Amino acid sequence: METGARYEAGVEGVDIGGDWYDLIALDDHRLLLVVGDVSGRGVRAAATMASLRYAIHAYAAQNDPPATILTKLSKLVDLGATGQLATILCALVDVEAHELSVTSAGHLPPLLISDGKGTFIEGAVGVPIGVNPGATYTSTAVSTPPAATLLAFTDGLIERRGESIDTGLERLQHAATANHCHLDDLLGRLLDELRHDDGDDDTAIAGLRWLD
Amino acid sequence: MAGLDANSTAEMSFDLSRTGDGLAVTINGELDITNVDALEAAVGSALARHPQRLIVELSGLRFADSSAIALWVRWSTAVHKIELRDVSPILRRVIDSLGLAEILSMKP
Repeated sequence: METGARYEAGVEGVDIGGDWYDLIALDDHRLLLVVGDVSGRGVRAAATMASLRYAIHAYAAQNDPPATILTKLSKLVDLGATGQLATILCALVDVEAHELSVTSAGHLPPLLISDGKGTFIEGAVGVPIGVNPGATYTSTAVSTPPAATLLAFTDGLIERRGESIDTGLERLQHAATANHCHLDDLLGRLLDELRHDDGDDDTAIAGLRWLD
Repeated sequence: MAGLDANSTAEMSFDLSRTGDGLAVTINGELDITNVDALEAAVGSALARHPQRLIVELSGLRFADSSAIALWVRWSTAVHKIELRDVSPILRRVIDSLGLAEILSMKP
């Protein structure tokens, strides 16, 4: 399996963003792919991001599946006090079995590419973390074809002012299937092609590709 | 999520009025990370009286970022029911994609 990820900051010199990714190896054939986005920016967003990431690592270490991780995270991290929201996509990847289990807390759907075709995995979407401590989340199970590529990303990659996010999702779908190259080159090209020049939002993108 | 130039404040105006059982807030212009705190502070004392219903009128809203949506979610916890009115298709799609359509009820 090939894996890769990129992060690009928003406006240069302005604070720190709230986007992140994590690829967490669980054992010799399973990993957890996480992409998240905390609203706002600066120290407050960064501190929230850090606590969310540490908690996800801890729950992953005790072998919790994605839906359990996000349900527990909702209870643990009280964003009500600071009024922040975080969208998180959490996918358990079984490399050997070619299976995914995807859970979304208000996050954009991941793109699955196979044979030159891209399909967004549109499963159940729960509320962002921070909305409701009692929120529960469900997983969507997907089997992946041989040599498939999975891309998870934050809204900076697709959003443009005054445009529907569907237009941005289509642009990504097109760009990601038009390029046949190594995963790392693909991630770099997508950032170059899709982020507009005055993009002031930070962007995280993480990808996996099966080699068989 | 979206942020903007740290030193400039987006142009926004608002209007508060009472309705039968609640409060109506009309927001015009651009609501984002640079001015969301000002709006929250201005509406805070009216919301502290816990009106039953909050109507947020958005026909004059030209742009909203995730901070604006986070503000409406906070408002939703202070009232029995929040209703967003005249929501543009672009904004509606974002609220749907965030899984928030059940919390922020939207009228076209």
